[in-house]
Amino acid sequence: MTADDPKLDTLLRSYAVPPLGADATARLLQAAAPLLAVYATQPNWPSVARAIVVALLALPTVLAFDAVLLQGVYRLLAIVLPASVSLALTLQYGALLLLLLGATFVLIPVVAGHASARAEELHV
Amino acid sequence: MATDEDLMGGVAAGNADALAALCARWQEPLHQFLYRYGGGRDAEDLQQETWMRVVRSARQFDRTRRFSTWLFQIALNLTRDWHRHPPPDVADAAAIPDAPDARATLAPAEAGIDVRRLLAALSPEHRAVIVLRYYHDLSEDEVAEIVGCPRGTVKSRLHHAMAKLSALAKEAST
Repeated sequence: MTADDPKLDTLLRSYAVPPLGADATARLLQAAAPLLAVYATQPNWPSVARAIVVALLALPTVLAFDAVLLQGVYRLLAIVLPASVSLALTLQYGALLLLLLGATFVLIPVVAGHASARAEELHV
Repeated sequence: MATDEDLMGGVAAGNADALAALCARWQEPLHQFLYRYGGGRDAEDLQQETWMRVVRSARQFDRTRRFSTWLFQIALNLTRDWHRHPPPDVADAAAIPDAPDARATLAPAEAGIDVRRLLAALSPEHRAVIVLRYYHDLSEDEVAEIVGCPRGTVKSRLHHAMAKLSALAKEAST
């Protein structure tokens, strides 16, 4: 931007700023070091929370897919096996799926925290 | 090359190199803003404290925002809080620290005018828009976001501030 008045423009442009002290960055890095050390060891909770929210949003879809899958498995097994055996096998498979799903959600905070820290290191 | 916003992610992850890279990019513009807006008072202390606030808030930083706008917003708010008392009076020359003298290149009529005093005579609101828009060439929208007012208000403040500076400069040169 320039001022409409050329004289004022020249005058304003004449405002020079003395340079910043040469050790400013070093002093800042020294002052920020304790906080950066805390950040490096603690997960970034906002990003972890975002990952959990996204995972929770996808949860109904995952559960609906599992329900359809289990129904299909039961129908297939019931063709060749007695109904009670088919039901037992389907329930076992369902329990396994639930276990894997639970493990996935438990791991989300851990993976999200470490992944964001790692990704940010690679950006620089 | 990493963007400023990516580097902020690095700071949030505790990466000192990311902070050093951000400083390398923004320390000088920030210093110039703090110096001109505050009339040179405590510019280095304000610089340090602004960066410390950046680090403290790194994990709350919204990476969809522009880092530069956020940085200047922090600096402006900090300076307002810091300088509880008004900026140096136009006549209060002793309160203003010395700066490099570029007046040697000016015409004799303007050579006796101290720009710092002209800026100090403006209200903090007018001074902020002048410094951000004129010296840092930020857009009116960016200035509006930094100072926290509508774009129309920025335009109005800019117009009035320029008019006042022009009048003060004429008054000082006569």
